[in-house]
Amino acid sequence: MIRLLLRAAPARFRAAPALGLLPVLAIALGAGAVLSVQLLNRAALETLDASLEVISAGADLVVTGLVEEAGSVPDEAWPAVLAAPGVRRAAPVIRLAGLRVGTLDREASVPGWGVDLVSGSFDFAGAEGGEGTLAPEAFFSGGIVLPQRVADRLGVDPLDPVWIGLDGAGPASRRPTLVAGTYPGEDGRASAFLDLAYAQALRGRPGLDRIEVSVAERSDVEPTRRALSTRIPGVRMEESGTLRAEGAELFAAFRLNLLALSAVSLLVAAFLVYASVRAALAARRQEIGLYRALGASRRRVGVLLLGEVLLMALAGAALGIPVGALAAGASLDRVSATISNLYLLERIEGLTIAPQVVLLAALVAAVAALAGAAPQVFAETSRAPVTLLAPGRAALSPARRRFWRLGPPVAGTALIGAAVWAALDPESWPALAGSGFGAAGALLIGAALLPDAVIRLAARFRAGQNSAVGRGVLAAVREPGSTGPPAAALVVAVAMLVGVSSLIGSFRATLDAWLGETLAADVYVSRAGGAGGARSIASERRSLSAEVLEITAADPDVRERDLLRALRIRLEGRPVAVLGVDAALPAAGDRFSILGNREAALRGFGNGELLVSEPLARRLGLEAGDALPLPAAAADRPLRIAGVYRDYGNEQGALFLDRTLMNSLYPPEPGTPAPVHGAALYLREGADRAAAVTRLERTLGMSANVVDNAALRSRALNVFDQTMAVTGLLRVFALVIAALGVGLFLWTLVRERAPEVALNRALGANRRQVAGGFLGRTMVIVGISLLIGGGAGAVLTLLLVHVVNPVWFGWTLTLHWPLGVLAAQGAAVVLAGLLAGVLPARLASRVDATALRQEI
Amino acid sequence: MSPVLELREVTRRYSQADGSELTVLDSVSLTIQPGETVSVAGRSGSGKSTLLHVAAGIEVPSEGTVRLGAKELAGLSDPERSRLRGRFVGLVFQFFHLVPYLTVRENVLLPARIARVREVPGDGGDPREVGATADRLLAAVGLEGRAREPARRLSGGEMQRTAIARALLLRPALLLADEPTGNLDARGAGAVADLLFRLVRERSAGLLLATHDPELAARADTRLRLRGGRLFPAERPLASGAR
Repeated sequence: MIRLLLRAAPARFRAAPALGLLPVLAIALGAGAVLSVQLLNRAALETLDASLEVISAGADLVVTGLVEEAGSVPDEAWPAVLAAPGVRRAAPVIRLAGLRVGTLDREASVPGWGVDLVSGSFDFAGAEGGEGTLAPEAFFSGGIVLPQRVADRLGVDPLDPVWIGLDGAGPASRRPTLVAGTYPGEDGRASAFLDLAYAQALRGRPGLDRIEVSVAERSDVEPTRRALSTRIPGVRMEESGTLRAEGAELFAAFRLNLLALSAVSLLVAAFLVYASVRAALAARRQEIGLYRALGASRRRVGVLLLGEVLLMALAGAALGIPVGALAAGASLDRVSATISNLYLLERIEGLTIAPQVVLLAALVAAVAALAGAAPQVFAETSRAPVTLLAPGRAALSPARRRFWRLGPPVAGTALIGAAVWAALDPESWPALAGSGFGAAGALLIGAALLPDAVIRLAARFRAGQNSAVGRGVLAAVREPGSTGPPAAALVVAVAMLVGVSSLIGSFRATLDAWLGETLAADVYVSRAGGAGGARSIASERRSLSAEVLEITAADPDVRERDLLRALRIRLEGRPVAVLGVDAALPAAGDRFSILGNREAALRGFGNGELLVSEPLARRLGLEAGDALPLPAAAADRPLRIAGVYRDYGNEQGALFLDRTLMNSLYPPEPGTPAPVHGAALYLREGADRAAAVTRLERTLGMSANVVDNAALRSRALNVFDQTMAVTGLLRVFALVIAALGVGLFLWTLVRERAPEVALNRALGANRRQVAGGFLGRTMVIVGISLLIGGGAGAVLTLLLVHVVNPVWFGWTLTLHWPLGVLAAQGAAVVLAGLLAGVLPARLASRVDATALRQEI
Repeated sequence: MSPVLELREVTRRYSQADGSELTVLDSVSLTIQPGETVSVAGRSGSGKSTLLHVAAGIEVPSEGTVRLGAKELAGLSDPERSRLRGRFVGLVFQFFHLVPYLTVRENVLLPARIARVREVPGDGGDPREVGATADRLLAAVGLEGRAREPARRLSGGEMQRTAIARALLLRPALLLADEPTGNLDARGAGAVADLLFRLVRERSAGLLLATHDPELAARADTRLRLRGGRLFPAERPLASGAR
């Protein structure tokens, strides 16, 4: 029997190519969406790994600074670690963020490391199958070891001359050197290596980023860690691997968000499979009845039919792999920008298509397709053979009809009810991890179960039968089975469009208002090469020179200056920006949007207390009045929290304190002034802001960035738009799949209803009228989808804004409906739906009255 | 009085998968006058349905001419043919072909909806509201009590009576009936045949009836047989309606 079905498959495909092709396309897009998101997530993780990678083979412990600043582990710590009992090897490492290597005509960006070749066991030279080359004399003289792909891109071989420099430091800081060696390296993760001393010189400051320690015996790890803690104060000791685990957790929420969006595409694809299988099985009902009559069991027929669906899913997955890879490639820059903006990481370098990710996408596609097909296969195979063999459409028993009529809307209403509960009363909704996403999933599935019932309610519609479109509308509402499935797919897409767009709109409006509220100064000055703003400064750790500070102080229009110092620490395993400002400044209060008692918070801040950001407060469960111990060089000194401020610039968390206090907690290196990373300038009343910016730009030249309030605000909004742009692709995916679904369903309907169309033709309807009837059906599908999907999207928005966002990102957003965007998307849905209906309508118009030889 | 249907030397050939041609109608000529009833008998596959399709303008003949009333179909575009068919011809099918999700009355009104007409000529030629006409027809076929029910709930005989009412709604000059009793039991078939002939005669419409039921065929004024693609008189070598 299997052979029979397989042999008949090509003929079936030839007879109805679209019926086979469109679900395959839908699965391909669904699988492609999942694959692209997986690839991007992996690429982001690999970027993270590259920066946190333990590069010395066999390291058991990693020594890092308490403060996450470049060179925060003092050079003297290295001999101290080496001398500690139980330490077999200790390899000092510095990370060269933004290393660029180039020749006269080409250049490349590559993750860079400064290492001590003697003390570590680095695998770049020969450890990977002996394919690497290393000229030690060149390396120890400042030469650079490159991964082969970078060397190929630059067209250089060992001992060829190149220049090296750091991003943002300008061409003047580049210095010439030689290629000391090459090694194969893994794609996307290959780094360049320099000798430690030369790397420190390139970075322009002493100190190590970490020391990678191997212990004599594996069982000695804990005693060694204790010994090191006692001997070397002011450092952090982590087991190797902890850093990466913490890093992965860093943007788990972001990855989950992307995954959820791709799951929506898959959900829509599953509905499409449901629709196509339904249509295919309707066409093959008598064939199934025949198999059953000839003795095939329900189970056997069911397994065979699901087997066909599985083949279809695998074909779709195979097609989806290049689609996913292309989509991921197209989105790489956007995701990279998002990761850089939100998580202060480096940009993603490239994609690696790992076989396990491809397998995962295929598996997910297969499961979605089977889940979509199973209900209809079950429904068909459980009919009696005599019912299946009867000509015409098989009637359900009254009990079964009741079940199918009432079951989906009851289940759908229950699911939506749960989601509405979560959206309207987030406080009493179970605060389990993922429960917000669970409620969103329940909402989408619940909404998709409603179209049939809503269409039944509209079945009393009688008007407009004189027009062809009106008769199509009537047909659609009288036959929910012919309208519900494609409407369900479109409902999910519409709900997702409304929800995600409104979330982004709310976020943007909140951010805009927050920027307006907190960008109190007139002009902001930061070190050249940075994007400006405290967040950027904290990530880049570039300080302003004394000359810049003098010039800004001397400017005639500057009334007051608010100087900012920024550094990063780790609290409970995650990086937190510590920002020092002049708390005593009269305008200080304007810089913060305080949650709760503003007056008390600002008073406390002025008296040496902390202001913590909302994401940090949520993550650590902090509130005003709590004490927070800050890991400091001197001692872990608890400080009282004066209040919590809104911060939409950093998901990981930040805290503000008075800069003088900060300098006492984190004193600068002896003999050097405390660094200042940014200056906010308040101009005199009546001063010309644009003129002041121009003057400062001219005076400061290339040594600093000068932006005014408005420019900084628009820059921040641009960064936000760039960050959210990645969701656009996934939204388009869902809409395209849903439109395909509408097209597919109408197409199968043309086939199913050819005799009905023929009757209309026989009764005098012309081709335009027939096409109009199908467009009428399409209008009902689109209308129902907009109605239910719009409502579900509104609830989804509330869920995303009030439940998902605070739990996963720690941000409180003000609800804002982007009506213009929503209207445009509504128009896009109508257009996509109507376009999807055009081809079936044309096909229907070609049906001849001779098709009346069949039964309606 | 001009004929309501005139076929002249009509041939209909179909191309087959092997490249050969199958001639289903071979130089068929037929004229039907207003009020005349003609039956065409023949075995299954003899071309009866094709003959009706060609007469209705649903299929275009390979050769020959078809004239519905004063209009020759060959010169008409598809929309014009569709319009003429909707107004001039009533169709009754073996499998009834009702739209299951429409009510009985809505099915009867379907030709008027398609043709966008609100009034049809009454018995005296005076215009009558189409809804009232549908109700009168439903009463005439004995289905006035079931007018608001979905068509799918009707029995076979009721469905065919509905189809006859639908076919007569716009007062067509020609009624084409393809095995109208083929799917009914003997009692139902008799009732439907009575109804069909009564209503056709009341309205002075021409009737072309394809059937392999000899009793039904015998009720027509002219009885023809289709064999080998050609029309022959059912009992005499040349029927009065065949030329």
